[in-house]
Amino acid sequence: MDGSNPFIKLEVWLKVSYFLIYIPLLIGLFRLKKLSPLQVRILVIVGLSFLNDTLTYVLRIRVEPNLWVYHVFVPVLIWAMYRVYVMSLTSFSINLMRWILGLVVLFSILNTLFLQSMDIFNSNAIVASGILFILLSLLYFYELIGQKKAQDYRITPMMWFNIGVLLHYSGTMVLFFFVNSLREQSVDIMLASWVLNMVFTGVLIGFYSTALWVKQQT
Amino acid sequence: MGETADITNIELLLAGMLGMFLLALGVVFFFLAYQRRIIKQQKEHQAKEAEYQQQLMRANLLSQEKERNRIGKDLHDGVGAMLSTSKLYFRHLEQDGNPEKFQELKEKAMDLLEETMTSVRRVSHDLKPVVLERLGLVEAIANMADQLSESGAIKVCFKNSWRGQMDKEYELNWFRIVQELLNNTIKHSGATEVYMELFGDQEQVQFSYHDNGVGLTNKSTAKAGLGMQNIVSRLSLMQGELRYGENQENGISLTMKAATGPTNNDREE
Repeated sequence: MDGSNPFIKLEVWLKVSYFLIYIPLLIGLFRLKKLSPLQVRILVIVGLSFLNDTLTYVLRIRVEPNLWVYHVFVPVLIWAMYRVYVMSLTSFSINLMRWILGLVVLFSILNTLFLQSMDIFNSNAIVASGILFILLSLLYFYELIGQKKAQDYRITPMMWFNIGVLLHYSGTMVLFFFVNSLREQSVDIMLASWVLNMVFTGVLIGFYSTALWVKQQT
Repeated sequence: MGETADITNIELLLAGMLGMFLLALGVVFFFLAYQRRIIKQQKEHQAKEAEYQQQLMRANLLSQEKERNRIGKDLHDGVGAMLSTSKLYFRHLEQDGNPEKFQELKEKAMDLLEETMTSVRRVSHDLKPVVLERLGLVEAIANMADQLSESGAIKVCFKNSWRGQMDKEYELNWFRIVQELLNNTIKHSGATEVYMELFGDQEQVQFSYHDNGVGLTNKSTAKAGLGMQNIVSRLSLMQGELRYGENQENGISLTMKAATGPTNNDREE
């Protein structure tokens, strides 16, 4: 049990990143009755992430294949994200949003069928969904800039959620783009990539937690 | 060579991630700064609006106080004095036995009572114009215009193309506005002609007012005047607004518009 062994370090980082999701989940469940409809939808995303993390973690401990979980998770996450943004992007065509989201879901399915099978990490689909989420996030900012009346962002859950999404998916975009090729590189690079992923996940979790904590502005 | 390649890859990865993250952070900071500026502007605007509303409220209260003083003065100096004199006459009627003197005092007392009744009627008419009550706004304005024209000092022309129903309280507001405008013209403008027009539809009524007097040399001074503030205050109560005409040098030129009655929101308030 050498503490300087990079694999043990990686294991520690993985455990930490798996358990981070408990923070917004507990906040959301604790404030469940006080949550606005939008916050409930954010809690659904947190719940899905929790399920994804738990399932992959358990399968990993049992030394069973767990990469298929991500193939299922990505389309479901896109659907959950759509449900959050459709409430906030009021000046954009819902049909257009549905089409774009549908195309990304279709791509993630085709990716699983023809490009990255269930036993390969679906980085293509994750990058595509990341681009979509960044786009949605920027559209939300654009919509707010167009509004005559500014909101107090400190008490607007969507603002916290949106900032978290933008920072997380922008930060991890490059990582997920190269993640499969990184597996073939040295342990140091693997370790560094997981630490970076955990840092950005921490950022996302922090913003999710704040979005569920603040009282919805009416 | 392998280690060097690893370090370069890590650096590239880090640089790429950091670059994207900083870019996103830049977007967030830009947005928050923009939002903060908008909120600051909104607060400034709200403060100005609140100050303006306070100013209007103050003008309204001052106007009410002025009106009360005027009524008090009218009652005290006019009606009160005449009633006191009448009381004196009646006291003498009791003591004097001369029939001729009795008749003379009786006639004087009756004349005084008649004058008192006229004064009370005038005060009452000022409080609630009878012509407005009986014939409506259009006739009341026409009546004011005719009375002034008949005096010979000023020629007032009034044209009406508005046909509709108006809330009683709104009618009184419009009547007071026209009264105030005509008073201002008579007192301050030195005008010889006034042109007034009432137009609009079922939802909104508009009123234009022009005279050939000295006009407004300074709009801000005019706005600050109690009379004008009262007009703006009354229009504000009727969800209306006042607009000054472009050329104010050849006499005053104003256009006002307001609703014909309270909206559902006003009623709820």
